[in-house]
Order: sequence, then C-alpha cells, then structure tokens
Amino acid sequence: MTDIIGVWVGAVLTLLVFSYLLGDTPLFRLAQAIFVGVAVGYAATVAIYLVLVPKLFAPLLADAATNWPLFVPLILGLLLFTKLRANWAPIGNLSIAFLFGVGAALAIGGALSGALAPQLAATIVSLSPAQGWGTVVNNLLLVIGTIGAFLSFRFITSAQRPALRALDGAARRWGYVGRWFVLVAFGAIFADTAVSRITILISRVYYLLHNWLLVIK
Amino acid sequence: MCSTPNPVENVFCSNCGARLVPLTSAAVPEAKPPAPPIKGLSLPAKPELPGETQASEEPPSPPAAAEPMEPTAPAPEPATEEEHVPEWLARLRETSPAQQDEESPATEESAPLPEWITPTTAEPTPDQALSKPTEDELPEWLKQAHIGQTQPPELTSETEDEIPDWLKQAQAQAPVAPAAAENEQAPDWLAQAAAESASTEEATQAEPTEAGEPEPVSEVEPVQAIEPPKEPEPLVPSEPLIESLEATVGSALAQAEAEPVAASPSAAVEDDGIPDWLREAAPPATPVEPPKELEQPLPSEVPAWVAALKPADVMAPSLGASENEAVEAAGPLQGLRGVLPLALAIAEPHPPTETSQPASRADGGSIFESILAAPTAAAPAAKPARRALTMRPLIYLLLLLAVLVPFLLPYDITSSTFNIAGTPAAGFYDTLQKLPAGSTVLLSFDYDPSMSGEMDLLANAVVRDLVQRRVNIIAVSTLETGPQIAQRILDSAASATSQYTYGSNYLILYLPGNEAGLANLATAGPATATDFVDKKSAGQFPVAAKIRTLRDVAMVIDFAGTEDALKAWVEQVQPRVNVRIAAAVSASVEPKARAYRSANQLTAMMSGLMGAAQYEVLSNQPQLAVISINAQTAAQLVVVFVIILGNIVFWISRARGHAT
Repeated sequence: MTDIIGVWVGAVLTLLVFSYLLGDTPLFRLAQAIFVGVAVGYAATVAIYLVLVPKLFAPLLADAATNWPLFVPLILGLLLFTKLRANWAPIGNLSIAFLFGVGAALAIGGALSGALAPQLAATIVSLSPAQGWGTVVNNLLLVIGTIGAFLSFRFITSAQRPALRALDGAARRWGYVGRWFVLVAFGAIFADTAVSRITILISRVYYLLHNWLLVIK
Repeated sequence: MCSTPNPVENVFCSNCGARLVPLTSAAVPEAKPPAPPIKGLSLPAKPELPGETQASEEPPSPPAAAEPMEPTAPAPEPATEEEHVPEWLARLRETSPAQQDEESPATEESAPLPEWITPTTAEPTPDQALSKPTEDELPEWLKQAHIGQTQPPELTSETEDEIPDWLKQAQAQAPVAPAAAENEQAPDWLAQAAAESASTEEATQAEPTEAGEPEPVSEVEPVQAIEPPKEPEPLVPSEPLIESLEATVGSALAQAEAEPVAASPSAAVEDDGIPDWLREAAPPATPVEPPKELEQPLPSEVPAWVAALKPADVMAPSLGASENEAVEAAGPLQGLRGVLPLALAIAEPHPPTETSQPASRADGGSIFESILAAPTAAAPAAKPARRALTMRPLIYLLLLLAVLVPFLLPYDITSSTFNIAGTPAAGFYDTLQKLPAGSTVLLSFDYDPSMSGEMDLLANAVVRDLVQRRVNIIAVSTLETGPQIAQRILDSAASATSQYTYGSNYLILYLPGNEAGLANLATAGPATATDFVDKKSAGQFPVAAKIRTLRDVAMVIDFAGTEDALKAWVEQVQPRVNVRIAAAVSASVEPKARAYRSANQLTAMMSGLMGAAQYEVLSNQPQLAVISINAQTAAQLVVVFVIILGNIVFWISRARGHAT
C-alpha cells in the first residue's frame, strides 16, 4: 500500500512538473514548492540527527569538561543566528569569515595540487612517431588545442618591431584556431548535457509507464 | 569740548552743549575728577520710549537751563517757559501719555508697543510715581525753588529777608541790564564782568534791529573773549542759583531714577555738573557691561570688498523683482539684499529663457511629434512568435514519441550495434574486475534526486556487480540526500544477494562540510563519520573497523552528478592519500572527467546512460539501462533531425530574404 501511494505521489508530481511545457502554470509552481520544501526539510533533519546531535550535543551533555573544544563550533554556530537581525549581523561575520577562510584555503590548495599541476603535466606529451601516428595526431591536437585556447584569450596590442609583429601575427592566428577548440568543447559540453537531460526524461517516462501505468514490464 | 567760540556768559556750549563753567566754585581745592564717560555703547541700559529714542538719535542739545538767557527779559515769558522747565520735569512730560499721543501717534498705530512700555504709557506705575516727586515729598528749599521756577519771581519783603545777602547780590546782578549805580557798588572784578556782558548784550540786541541782514564776520567779538582766563577766578553764575539748583537736583533725580545708569554722552555731560555731595548721595552707578554678543556691523561698516561682491545688482534683472530677495539678518552681510540669491534662483520658478535651438533639433522634435500622432501599426515581430509557438509543441510531440515508442516495440534496435571494446565503460569494468573479493571500496553518491534518473543507472550497474562479487562497500556522501539514495540502491542490491548485510558488508555514512569533510575523510578515515541508518560511529561496524585511512580501501568510486563533486574528490582527496579513484559520472560531466582521465588522475571513468548500458552488457545483467538505450537513441535522432531541419529552414528563409 505504501508503495502504491508513493508511486501515485511520484506520478502526480511528475505530471505537475511536465505541465511547465504549457507555461509557468500554478501546477508547476506547486510541484516546485513541494520539492524545495521537502528538500530543505530533509536537509535540516539530516543535519540535526547526523551532525548536531551525535557530534555536538551528545558529547557535550555526556562530558563537557573533556569535550570542551566543542564549545568553539557551538559558539560559532550560534553567532550565525545574529544574521537574522541587521543590527547584530556584523557579529556573525566571525563565523562567516571562518567558513570562507577555510573554504578558500581548501579550494586554492586543492586547485594548485589537484588540478593545475597535474593538468599542466598532462599536456607535456610526446610527438614521437614511434608511438603510432594516431597517438601523434592525438597528442598534436592536444598541444595545438591547449595552447590555442590560451592564445584565444590573449589581449595584447600589436608590437612595432617586425620580428615581434610576425610573432604577434602567428599568435593571433593560433589563438583563432584555439577559439575553435573552445567552441567545440562548449558544443560537446552542451551535447552531453542534452544527452543527460534526455536520459532523465527517459527515466521519468519509464517510471510512468512501468511503475504507475504498468504498461511495460 | 568742541572749541566753538561762545559768549562769556554762556555756561554751556551753544554747539555741543558741554558745560563751559564748572558748577562748583574754584575755591574747592580738590574736586574729584568726573567719571570717565563710557564710550562705544550703542545699546541703552534702560529701555527708551519712542520719544526718547528720537531724542537719543539726535545730536545732544544743550539743556534748557543752559540756553543763553535774554538779559533784557527778566520775567519769563510763556514762550520761554519751555526753556526754563527743569530737565526732570521735561522728561516726565515726555513720558506722559498725552504727550506721547501727540508726538508719536503714527508709531503707536503702526506697531503696538511692547508690554514693558504699555504700563508706562497707560498709567503711571509706582516706580514712575516715585520718580515724579510730589510737592509734599520735596524738601522745603526745593519747594521754594520749584515755586520760584514755575512762577514769576516776585520778591516779597518776607522772602527778601530770608534770602542771604550774597544771594541778593547775585540776583541783583544776574539781570544783565546793568545800572550805573549798581556798577559803582559792585567790586572791580564784577564790574569788569558786567561790562563785558553789557558789550555782548549790545551785540545781541543789535540782531533784531538788523533783521534779515547777515552780520559781517568782522563785527564778531574779538577772540580774546573766548580765551581762558589765566588765573581761576571766582565766577558768578549768570543765571539764578535757584535755576541752577533745580537743574542739578532734577538731573540727579533723573539719574537716580534710571537704573542702570544710562551711559550716554549727554549723561556724561550732566555728570560733570553734579556737585560732589549729590554725587555721593546718589546710588552707586553699576557699571554697565557691554552685551556679550558681538555687535553686528552696520551696512555702512561693511568693507568695500564685501560690498563689491554684492551680486544683487547683477542677479536682480535675471531673477525679477529684487523685493523678493532675502535680506541678510545676521553676520557681516547684515542689511545687504540678494547677497546669496542662488537658493532663490533654484527654488523660485522663473520663466524659461528663450534660447535659440538649432534647426536639426527643432526638426527632430517635429518628427517625434508626428510619430506620436501617427496611428500605431501592428508589430511586425508577431510572425516569429507564432512560428515558435507552433513549432515548440511539435518538437515536444516528436521527442515524446521518440521516448515512448522504443519502450513499446518488441525488438531491440541497438543491442547489435554495441561496440563495447575500447570504450571507457570497458576500462571501468576491467578495473573493477581486478578488485579481490572481500576487499573494501568506497562509493561516493554525489548526486541528488534531480539527477537520479541518470545516475541511478550507473550506480545500480556498479553496485550490483560489486555486491555479486562480495566486495565490501562503504558508501559516503557529502550531500544531505546522498545517503538516502545510497541506502535505496545498496539495499536493493543486497536483497538480491544472500548474506550481504548492513554493517558487515556495507555501510552508509554522511560527510558534512563538502570539501572540508572530504579533507577530513582523507586524513582521519571513515571511522569518525556517523552511520546513516543507526546513527552510530562508523568505527563500531565491522566493515569500517579495519579501515583507518583511505589508503586502506582498494578504490574510490565516485558517482558524480556535477563537476564540483568530481573536482572535490580529485583536488581534496587524491593529492593527500594518492588513492585510486574511478568515476561514474553524468553525461554532462564527461568532458571534465575525460580531462582527469587523460591526466591519469582517474583510474577509470564511464558516463551517462550509454556507459551504464555498456557496463550492464559487460556484467551480463541487462536492466533498465539496456532497455532505455533504445529510447535514448531515438530521442537523440529526433534531436539531430530537429537541428538539421531547423538549419535548413534557416538557410532557406535567409535565401528568400536575400532574393526579396
């Protein structure tokens, strides 16, 4: 019985979302509000029962003297409530600053060690024919596309000397090629996104046909 | 002293009114010097009545008693009574209501008097009554003096007896009409003075006879008459002593009445004539302090350079009437009008200035008016909107049919066209096949329910394969909804496999804090996390008890629905523990995952519905992904068809546009 109710609720909400094809209807807004409300409520419940109670309140109530460092996150968390009032909002900046500081430090450190350095190293490839012409062409496209993508974001005025002017012209042409690589990458991302959304559409249609209407097995 | 030549008999200067002859005799050896007059005060210490204000503005005139007496008129005439009225009486008359009504009716009519003035004009106040001495209050000697002033002096026998000899002599000599007999009885110095006065009288009496003819300057008295005497001689007063006393007492009373003492030049002159005994009897005059606030300069005191800056003359024509301009009430610009006219120029409406506009501007205005007057035409952009409205449902219908029809067809379209070898899914499958049974892998469910339609296909395919191979699973998620999704998928896979239980073979954890949670997981391991089902610490479960760090897990498989989730694992976990990471991502994340795979940051990767279907085929578990691949293919074909058709229509319409 529970499964049947769940299927019906899921089917009705799916149709309400599909009503957006007819426009921004109140039915779509109802489904949107239900989705947001359920998501927020569920997130708050998870945060309370999986974070605050087992990792903060329970240790403090059990042995506050031993777990006294937990008062620091408790105070920082309470300071966030000062954001509810404009006059007290600056007090909560301490907690916000802590969150932003930790987040920025992790992002910068991770980007340097986890993305920039490995990705730069990945562009250092061999163009030796010994690896096969396919690999050579692939590596050559990789190098041309990577450097061309960088040169397409080059905004420098043309030089006066003839040698530099020739170099500047070559860089401009390479950047023009690199711009096409960027456009192809954007097209691939868009196509993959479209494929992903089509897959989601297929799953919802299968849900309606298989779980709700029982048309297909 | 104004150094104006005056006749010898004058007691006061005819020009400035200063006393020429001291009231006290020269016999007094040490007369106290008169108090220095206070100068520079423009505000009276006592509020003045309107009549007094006029009097104060006029130059100080000599008192009536100081007028040169007509020697030939011993009896005071009615016309000259005004001149002989004592000063205190004159002031009282000035303050009387009747006289004020006569003198300044316009002032009272135009502006009502303040309250402090009204009682004095209406009826005499007790103070005023005190200031006006009655006859009963006057001393005896003053009564007589007053009687002698108001009435013609008629010396009776009784009064003659009471008058001392020296006064009789003075009265006898006071009339300037000298008699020869009297001159013989007079002493030498008095006779000389009488002779000089007689010569003066002759000069003065000659004026009426020569009416209308100006007196030549040569006939004026010689200069020696105004030369001060070398030695102080006892001067005989040229007027009766009674009058002098009346004047003195009257001025003293008036001075005592005024509190605080009015420090004016006239008062200073009167102070010079007060005898010492009366000055001592008078109440001490309180020094009048000047007002603390700075006196505002009069308009005449405004410097020339400030007056030159006065813009009233310049702005007045443009602003219109200058009467509306404000007059400065304070400051150095007091009294000036229109010094700061900018505020008025902004605030007050003024007629617009007629400026000559260029012809093009005028033409533009006329064109704009004609456009506004023209009837509105139908918007030509309605056709594309209608076309879009008609094409959009058609595209929706085509896409819906492409998704529905493959599910209803009995045969498989694309299974025979699968080319699995060499695909990312094959590499992913091969990587997982290297995991030994009983090993532990960490699965990260980093997608929310909105992406579950796609990501569930990947997760179900991988989890079923791992469960069947009895690989232990620790499922984690940095999203609040991730553990619920993981529980649904793991419970479904575990139910299909015997002896694969929660806690012993698989565990679900929640990692709060996003990147910080992943960094903590990389350093501290999963044992510190909280269990999602039983709300216990992960270290209490057998599957996680032997996992201290992430290096103890065989592999990390990330089901990433977004780029940020995959990037967090690659950037926060792998550099710290150098664990192998395989990614099963959404199709929209595939470009990013390919870059990581090319850099060997990912051990394996697969993406989308196609990757899930390939994995199901490789694992011999064809499920929903394989079923859905037909619909996916048909939908993609429809999309390609729509794109091609749209481009054809675009080029055709463009060609027609060029042709027309």
